[in-house]
Order: sequence, then C-alpha cells, then structure tokens
Amino acid sequence: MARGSSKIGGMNLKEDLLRAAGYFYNFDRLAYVNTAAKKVFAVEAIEDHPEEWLKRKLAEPNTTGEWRFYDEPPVGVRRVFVAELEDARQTHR
Amino acid sequence: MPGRRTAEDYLRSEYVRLLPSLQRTSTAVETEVRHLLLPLTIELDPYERVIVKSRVKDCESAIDALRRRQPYGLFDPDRAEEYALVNLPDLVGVRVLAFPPRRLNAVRDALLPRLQTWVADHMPAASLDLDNVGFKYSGRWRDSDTFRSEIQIVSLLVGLFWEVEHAAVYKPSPNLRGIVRSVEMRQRVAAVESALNAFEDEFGRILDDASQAF
Repeated sequence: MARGSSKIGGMNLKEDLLRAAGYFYNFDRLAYVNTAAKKVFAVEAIEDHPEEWLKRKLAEPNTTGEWRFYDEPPVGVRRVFVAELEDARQTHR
Repeated sequence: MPGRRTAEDYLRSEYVRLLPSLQRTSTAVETEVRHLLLPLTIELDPYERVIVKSRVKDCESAIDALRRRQPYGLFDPDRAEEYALVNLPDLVGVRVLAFPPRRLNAVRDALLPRLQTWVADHMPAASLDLDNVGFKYSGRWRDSDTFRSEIQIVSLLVGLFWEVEHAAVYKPSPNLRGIVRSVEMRQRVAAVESALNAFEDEFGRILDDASQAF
C-alpha cells in the first residue's frame, strides 16, 4: 500500500545525458550503470543534483580500475553490489 | 557450522513475532474506520462509492519495501541485525476509495479527529500539473502498538489504477521492482493519473451543474 511517487522534473535531460554516455538503468539497484567506464550513478544522486553536476561527473575519467559510485555506498553494500557488477561483466564478455 | 544470519533472516523472525498484533490491529482499524464513516456512507447517492479496504503487508513485501529504502536497494551484510520492519510506516494499511472526488474531503473530515497525533504524508501526483492525488496518514492505532499503521484516502479511479500498477510491477516479476522509478514509466503513470483526474473533474463539474439546475 506504500505509495511514494515523486514529481518528474528535469529528469528527461538527465536521462538523455546518461543514455548518450552509455549508461543503462539497473532496476534492482535504482542506479544507472556503465560497465565499460565502471561508474554508477544512484537515482537519488541524479535527482538531487543539477544537470551541470551530472555533466561534470559523467566527464570525469575513472582510471582507478575500481568501480566509482555517485553516491558512495556503505562498505558492505559496496562489496555486494560490486560482486553483482563483476558477475554481470563476466557474463557479458 | 551454520552460516551467518542475513538481514532477511532477522526480519523474518521479527515478522513472525509481530504478525498476531498486525492482524488484530488491521481488523480494529478497518472496523473503526467503517464506523466513523457510517454517517457518510449511508447517505451516498446511488452513483457514489466509499470503499474501505485493509491489509497486513505480507512478510516478503515488507522485507522488499525495507530493502528498497536502503542505499542501492541492498541490506548491508555488516549490519544485518540492525534493520527493523517496525520502521516501515505501513505494516498495516487501510485504504479508503471515494467517488466522486468531492467525497474525499468528507471522508478525511470524518477520520481526522481519530488521527490527531498521526503524521500526514500526502501522496504527490506523478504529474507536475496535479497537486496531491490522495491523503495519507501514519501512526500508532493503539498506544500499545510497536508498529505504525497507515490510512490512505484516495479517489476510486486512481486507487484502482494503483492496484493494477502495483500488482503488475511488484508481484509477479521481482526483476521489475525498480521499474516504477524509471523516468519512462513515471511519465506514463503521470499521464494516466492526469487522465483519470480530468475525468473525475469533469464528472464533478457536471454534478455541480445538475444540482444547481434543480
């Protein structure tokens, strides 16, 4: 019975930016993921920040070899999520 | 050697402990809501509806709901014992569906005295063009309850649409759980809510015109 729909505002442009940059939406994790760039954007982070922030973060190179999260999750959550992401990468290779 | 207990293990134990109280409170809330609405419901015109539904959130739905509130929809395995279903606002839920929408305020007025200490968290429309699509309150029905119950007051058409949407998205396909947050899906939901709202507004306008004609 929970119902918590929020208004759609300014998400169309952000969605276009993410799609154009090669991100896909992960329904279970409520996040946009780019497996090649190893970057993850939480929906909350996308909604909470302006478009300019998203453009800057999309342009940031990730040369660490590790997954980069916007927002950074707790350590345990990061461990589980990264394991899922790596499984998915192996599957799609 | 047994494995480490997961957050889900702890939460299922909590649910079993809570269930008898949840069922008692669900019956109590629905009965009292029907009683409070009786003066209104016995005077409804034939085309009008006020429907009261109640439910106890089932165990896996409750765990899913709590999980969706966590970062990236995951329980932290390092804090497995720290999660609690009683943090959910709607383990017991009662939804009052009203048609036409002018009955919504009458329903709310009848229930408000019983909800003085409850927290209002009204339901925003998905569309920017609409205000709230319903009223929502959560709180403890009895002082002894360790959990909160929720009462929603919503138009009949929107409420029935939500039932279909919820059943389609959540129940049969766990892999669709997050679809409601996708931009495309929210746009479609906004369009449906706007259309239903337009229908109800027009119906209400015709009723007002008809009442002035006699």
